[in-house]
Amino acid sequence: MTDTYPKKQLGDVVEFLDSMRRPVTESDRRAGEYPYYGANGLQGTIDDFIFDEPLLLLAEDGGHFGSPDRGIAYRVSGKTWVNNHAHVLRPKACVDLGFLCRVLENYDVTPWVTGTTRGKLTQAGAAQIVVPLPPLPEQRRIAEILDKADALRAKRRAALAQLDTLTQSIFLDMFGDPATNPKGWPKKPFGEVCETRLGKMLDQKQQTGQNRRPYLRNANVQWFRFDITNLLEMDFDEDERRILRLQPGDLLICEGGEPGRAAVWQGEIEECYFQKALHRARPDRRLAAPDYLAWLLWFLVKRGGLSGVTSATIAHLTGEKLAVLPTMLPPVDLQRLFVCRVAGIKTLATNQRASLHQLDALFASLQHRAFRGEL
Amino acid sequence: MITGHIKSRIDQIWNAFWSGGISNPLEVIEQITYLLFLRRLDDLHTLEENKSARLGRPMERRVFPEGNDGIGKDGGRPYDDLRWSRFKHFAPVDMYAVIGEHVFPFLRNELARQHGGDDSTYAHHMKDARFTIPTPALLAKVVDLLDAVPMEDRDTKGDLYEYMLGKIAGAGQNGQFRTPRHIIRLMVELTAPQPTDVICDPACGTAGFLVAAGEHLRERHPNLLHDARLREHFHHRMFHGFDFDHTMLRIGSMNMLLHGVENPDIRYRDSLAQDHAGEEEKYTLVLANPPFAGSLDYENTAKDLLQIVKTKKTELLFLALFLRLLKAGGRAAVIVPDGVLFGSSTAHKQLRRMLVEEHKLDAVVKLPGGVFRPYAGVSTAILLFTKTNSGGTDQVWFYEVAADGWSLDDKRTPLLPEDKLGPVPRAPLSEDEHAKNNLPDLLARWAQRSGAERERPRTAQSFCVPKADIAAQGYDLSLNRYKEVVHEAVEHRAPKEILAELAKLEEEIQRGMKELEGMLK
Repeated sequence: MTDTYPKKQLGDVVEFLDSMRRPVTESDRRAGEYPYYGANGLQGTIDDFIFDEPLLLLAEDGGHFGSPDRGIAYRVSGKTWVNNHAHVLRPKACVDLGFLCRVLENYDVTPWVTGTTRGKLTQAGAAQIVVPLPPLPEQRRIAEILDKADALRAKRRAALAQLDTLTQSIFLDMFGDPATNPKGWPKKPFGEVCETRLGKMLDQKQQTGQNRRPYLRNANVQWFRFDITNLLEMDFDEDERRILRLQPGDLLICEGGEPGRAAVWQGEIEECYFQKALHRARPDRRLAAPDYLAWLLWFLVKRGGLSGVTSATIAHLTGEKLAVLPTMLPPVDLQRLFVCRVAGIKTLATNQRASLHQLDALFASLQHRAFRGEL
Repeated sequence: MITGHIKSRIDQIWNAFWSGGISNPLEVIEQITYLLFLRRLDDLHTLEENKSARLGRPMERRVFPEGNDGIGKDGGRPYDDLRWSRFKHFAPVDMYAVIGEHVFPFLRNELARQHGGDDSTYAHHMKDARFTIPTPALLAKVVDLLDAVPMEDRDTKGDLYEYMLGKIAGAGQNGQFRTPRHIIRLMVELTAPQPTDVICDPACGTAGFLVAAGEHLRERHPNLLHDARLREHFHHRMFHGFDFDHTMLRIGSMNMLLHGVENPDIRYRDSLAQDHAGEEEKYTLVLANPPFAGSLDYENTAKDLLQIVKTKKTELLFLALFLRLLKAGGRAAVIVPDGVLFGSSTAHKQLRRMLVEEHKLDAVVKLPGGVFRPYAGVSTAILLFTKTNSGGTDQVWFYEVAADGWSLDDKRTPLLPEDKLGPVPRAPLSEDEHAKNNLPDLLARWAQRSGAERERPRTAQSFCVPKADIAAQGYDLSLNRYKEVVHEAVEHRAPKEILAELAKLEEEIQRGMKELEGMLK
């Protein structure tokens, strides 16, 4: 921090109301109409309150002290209850609550944190935190700017969340809920729609170190995308390479873990294979589009449509079970239209995510400058 | 019912053992069991004494012979000194010497011999009794505390022992753990033992199932013990329990004794390893929760079981065993791990097919995952079947227990007051309370399984499935295979609506950015 603004210790600009806090064991807490706050925000509700005014809460223990980006301070107002994991701060007349919240929310307080396993910011420690203190109107201006920028980020996040539901909405609009099939599309067993097979079993003993190739395992297959940040390798001989090499358009389906989780391979890397925990399905393109099938699986998995197929306890989607899975088949042209729309949404989402990233950077930059008096 | 006062007395005894250096709960129970047995012997002797005094005749049966036991100097101690009522007044050091050097040898050798023909289960299991209480002080304290516990009433004795057994719950090894009492009671209610039944638990542990069956019979058939033939059957031929752990056998037989069964057949048998010649088709009711852990070698498995199903899995071998033990027409309620219901190995399928096609599978009761917490998190079900050798399965009744009255976490705290717990609560349950304890509803619906239950839809908590459907599913018995999920209509907003929302957000973001720009000028 430069010397532009005078600096004060937190203890000089706020009043600690910690002694008024009362913890309540979770099992003894009766839910009610008032919010119950802890170190990192709302913990639940309670049937009584301690405070009734705008206040600033600062994590005492269990806060994200090592990663202040995640926030260690937040504002509350109205009737509230606070447990003893958060300091309760009432700003004095010289300081604006909104401004102080912006100063503290991402403050690196590690110099004042004690305790090795679970960091604790004691009241004595917190009182020593150095805060910049511009004149009150300037505080309010800074707070207003940061609030504005923060609101932009929030809106962008809200827009992204909307986009996430858009694909589902389009699917349901075009095809109806696969669990009930209200439009009465024909169904076929999955095994008649796709040629499916499991991948290669990893056998540590058989590894010679020759012909090592990257392969996908359960963890690499996420919904509609692949996480290829850590691909493992094993030996694939010539025959196996011929049979098990992935082609763009292959649908990969998890056998265990979250059975049925699926994504369509787009040729993310040039040469890749797959392990025994995954099914590879190659749809008959006259019947089904791979991306449509991935979304169909999503609906079945998320809405319990697989429950008759997999067992509730040992969750496995075996080849046997996958082959008989009833597969709703709208006309393939309609499926392709859906896939086009999904691709459009995906592009939109990519752009929006980039925009969110920029807004995050904008906020950090504004915050950084604000307290140095450079705004 | 035992009172809080008696409970706290028992707790004191346990604490005395703990601070006295015996911390293994099984060992504590074992030592207490010996002492309780001694107290009973004394009571029996007193009873005979009183009888002889009243009738003015010499004693018919003496538990403690006349004269001295001949151990040590001067011909040993008088047998009378080995009686509870005598040694409890001795000084601790003397008492310790008498019990260690005279009473236990008496238990091990003399007792079985002098009873001659009457080698009751109890005497039998005392053969290798070991006295391990470490100090005279601890012994004196425990004897003192036990002496103050009222043991006159059969109910009290039984409950008291049950209460103590509750403390050994944590001692599960090799897949053994105590079955919760309310689940035992449920299974007993479902099978409704009759006065002429011959009941077997081939993995009996503390004999919980047999005890509950006995209690059920006393309650539902109050005249049972007034009929000489039935009384004889009840005391000598009705109850059979096997285990391969000697400590458990002692505890199990003591549990039966304290619940007023004179001579149950609680004996050493390695149920899966020993051949079953002489045991097959002897029983009309099997109640069991066998340990289902791991697998056996073919060499160590009874050949007659392997003939039924070739497998190494203990849970399947136990099922084969039940079929082997049962008489035709005999019924069973047994707990199996979930895997038995849907496992895809040949042995799994073969056994399920056998149950459905060759015998009569009555019901599958799916238990919630936490029933055996905190000892085991396994998912289990109760299988109810009748051995017929000729099929007879028509419809199989399924019930999914979602709540058994206790929380399903490691704490297992009761969710209802005591009079609303268990399968047969004293007070009726409301709809809300049913959601916390399904067992009374289960029992009521079980009675309706051939009637109203047939009409229930597959979306309900219980329903019937015709045999043909089960055969079509490859004899898969998991409830989920037949249960239909109610699909709520998805509330989804139309794409247009979402797009409009997005457009609005977009516009706000644009405007916000302009404003911010203005503020920074």
